[in-house]
Amino acid sequence: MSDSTLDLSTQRSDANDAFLAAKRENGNEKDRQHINVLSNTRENVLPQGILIPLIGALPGGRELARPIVVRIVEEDCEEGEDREFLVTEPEYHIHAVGATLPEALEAFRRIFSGYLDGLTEREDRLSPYMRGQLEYLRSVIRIL
Amino acid sequence: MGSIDSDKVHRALKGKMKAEIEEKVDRVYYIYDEQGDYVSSTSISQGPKETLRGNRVAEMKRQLGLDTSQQLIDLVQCRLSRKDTLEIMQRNRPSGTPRRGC
Repeated sequence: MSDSTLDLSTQRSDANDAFLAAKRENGNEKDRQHINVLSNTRENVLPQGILIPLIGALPGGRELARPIVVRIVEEDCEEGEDREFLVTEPEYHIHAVGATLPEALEAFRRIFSGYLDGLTEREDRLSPYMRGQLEYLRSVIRIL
Repeated sequence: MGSIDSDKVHRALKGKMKAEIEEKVDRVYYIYDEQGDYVSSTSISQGPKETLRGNRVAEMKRQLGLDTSQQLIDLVQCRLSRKDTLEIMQRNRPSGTPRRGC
């Protein structure tokens, strides 16, 4: 096994371990299932982090209308620094962080959903790019 | 990859870039151009540290539409003006399509 492969495996394993540990206390079973499935699939591993399809509820009585792919990366940290997980989606680079993977996913859901409100409020003055982002959010977020 | 103090990023986006800020649990910044059109945005979510680390800085510069993380650092350190920053953002997004990768 090459060093780079080992690094990926270690990172993937660390992320998964942290995720599973936190999920024992509270969390979303669907997220756990996706992490488990995809952490064993090499095709879904990027040079840094892992990709998972995110589904399920969003804050404010919303849900994802279809799965969106998010990338999860654990930030490098030096001795004494707290761990930090970064969750991001590749379309518009909406992202969030948390000290644990569940916290990062929760923050991502909150920010992702919040952009729908923020952009809708500014709908009359959006550039083409930002209008595209609003249309994307409307296509993947369903109001319950 | 460089790291940046989140307070300095906040000051640069709020002050120099005149971003509108929505502050609830997280801070979301909406950046508008000289015509008043919103051209970019980014956010700083609650994190365990106040230092924005390398991957987060890289993702923030992608979301903002900058070319490099260094440009975000230059913006924070007053080496990049609002005008130049807006030009970079608009150059990277002429068609309104998402910019992937980097």
